[in-house]
Amino acid sequence: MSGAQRIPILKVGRVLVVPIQTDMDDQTVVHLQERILSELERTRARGVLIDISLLEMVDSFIGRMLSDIASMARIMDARTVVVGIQPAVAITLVELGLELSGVSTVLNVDEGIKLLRDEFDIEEREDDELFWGELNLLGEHGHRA
Amino acid sequence: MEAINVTRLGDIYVRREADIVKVRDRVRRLAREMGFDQTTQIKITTAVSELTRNIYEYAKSGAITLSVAQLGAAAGLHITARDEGPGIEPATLDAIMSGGYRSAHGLGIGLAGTRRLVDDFQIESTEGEGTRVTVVKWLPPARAGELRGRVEEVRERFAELDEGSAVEELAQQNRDLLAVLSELEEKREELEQLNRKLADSNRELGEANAKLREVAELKEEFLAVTTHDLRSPLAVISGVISFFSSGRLGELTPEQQNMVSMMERNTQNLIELVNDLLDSAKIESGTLQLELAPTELPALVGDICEAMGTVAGDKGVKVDCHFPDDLPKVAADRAKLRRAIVNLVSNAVKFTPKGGSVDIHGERQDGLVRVSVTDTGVGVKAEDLPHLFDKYEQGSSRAPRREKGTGLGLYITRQLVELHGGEISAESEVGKGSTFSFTVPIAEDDA
Repeated sequence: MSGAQRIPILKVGRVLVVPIQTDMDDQTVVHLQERILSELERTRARGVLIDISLLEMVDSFIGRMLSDIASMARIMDARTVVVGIQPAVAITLVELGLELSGVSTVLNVDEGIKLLRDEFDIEEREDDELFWGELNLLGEHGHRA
Repeated sequence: MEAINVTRLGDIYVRREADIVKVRDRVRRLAREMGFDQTTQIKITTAVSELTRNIYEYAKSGAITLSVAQLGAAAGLHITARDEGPGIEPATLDAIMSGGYRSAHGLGIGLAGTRRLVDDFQIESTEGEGTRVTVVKWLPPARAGELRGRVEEVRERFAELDEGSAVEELAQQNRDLLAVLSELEEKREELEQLNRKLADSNRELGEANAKLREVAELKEEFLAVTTHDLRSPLAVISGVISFFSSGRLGELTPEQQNMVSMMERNTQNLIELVNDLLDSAKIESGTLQLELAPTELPALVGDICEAMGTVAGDKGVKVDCHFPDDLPKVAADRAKLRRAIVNLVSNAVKFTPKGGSVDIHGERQDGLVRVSVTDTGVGVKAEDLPHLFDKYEQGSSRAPRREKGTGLGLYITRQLVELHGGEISAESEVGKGSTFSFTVPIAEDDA
């Protein structure tokens, strides 16, 4: 209610992984956008991967925020991928007439990481700060949908 | 949509941004409860989210009404979103509905998109009065029959959801209360701190007070000792002077006589001053004891009149006494009472110019005897009257400089009168004169 819910932002290699696990109020969405941008600056990440596989609804406001995050990240030299859109959400988005302009969408986190890696030739480096535990957790979510 | 039969389930008010999430949650659960498939649940939720957001963004507050719609064999979810916001002008409304409008906030697809997500869509908007959007999503015919049979159950389930939200609302209020409480606690701590500071300064004040009292006591003691030590040499000087003036040391030339009488007068003033100081010191230390006895005022005042009359006569002031013979005896210490009356009379004479008169008057009043001393002297300013009986106080305009005394006379007089259980008061008019009067209790055997 008061105060934005905390949505984690994880750095995996040179990618920021943002798992959205619950319906968000507008404040949280706006706050998330700011945090992603400041993390991009701080970590010099090249990609943003937003996992919305648990999000059961994307309305015009959330859709616009996703597009905005992508545009802003692009200006900061980072690519944005949205993964795990539920089929029903996809249908709704289309009927609503909402295009997630500037946002690439893929089916799951693995695909998303692969896409970002290919895009930027980011080398897989074991000594990168990899949070494998969290990544695995995300992977499960990613495959769930 | 006229023929649609609508069974209202409940309202959700939209006042805060957080209500948008709340509406989404309630509507999604209701849609599931009514038997919509998952995709349709999401469509309905998204549509309502758009409507709710419009209410919040354009009107700040409004309400979503959820109902079961029935039309013939069909059944579905009927949703009304209404607000009392600024409304939408017809041209803009047309643009929105044709998809050509882009709002400053969203993508301009809210209403048009909503219409695509639902089956029936109706919008009424009056500029300045508000907007009302009514949408219906129908169930597939196979599910409709089932819903028709359990409208009551759905209503109950929805009420339960709302109870949940009531609990949530309570929880929020609880949190708000806790916040207020902690704020209050802070305030209380501040107050406590302030209190402690006050207590500290109070203690300091108390200490300062004790010191002051000590100083005052020392001063009284000093006065008592010094005045006593002053009195003895003064008595000797006075005695020696009387030797000179009596002529026992040989005849004095007129010039010498003049000098001696000057010495005599001034020595007398000094003695009076020392006596006054001694008396006030005694009164203040509480060591002045009265020896009360039935006292006849006419005789006492007669003596005073005679004694003062001589002094006043030299100055050209007439002193008169009016004491009825049937005046009862008073309970008084003769010497102290005499002192009080003498003080008043000598004051009156002092401040009355040549040709004036001083009148001493006694009368019975309310079980007491009132003694008044009236003069035709210079008078006292009204603003000086209340302070007249204070220690060392002298009316600013009462006397020429050479007539000034110690300022103790009236103070001592008041103390003496009050010791007797009487009251003293003064009335005066500048240039016309003053009346000082006091009361003395009547002696018991004469009451």
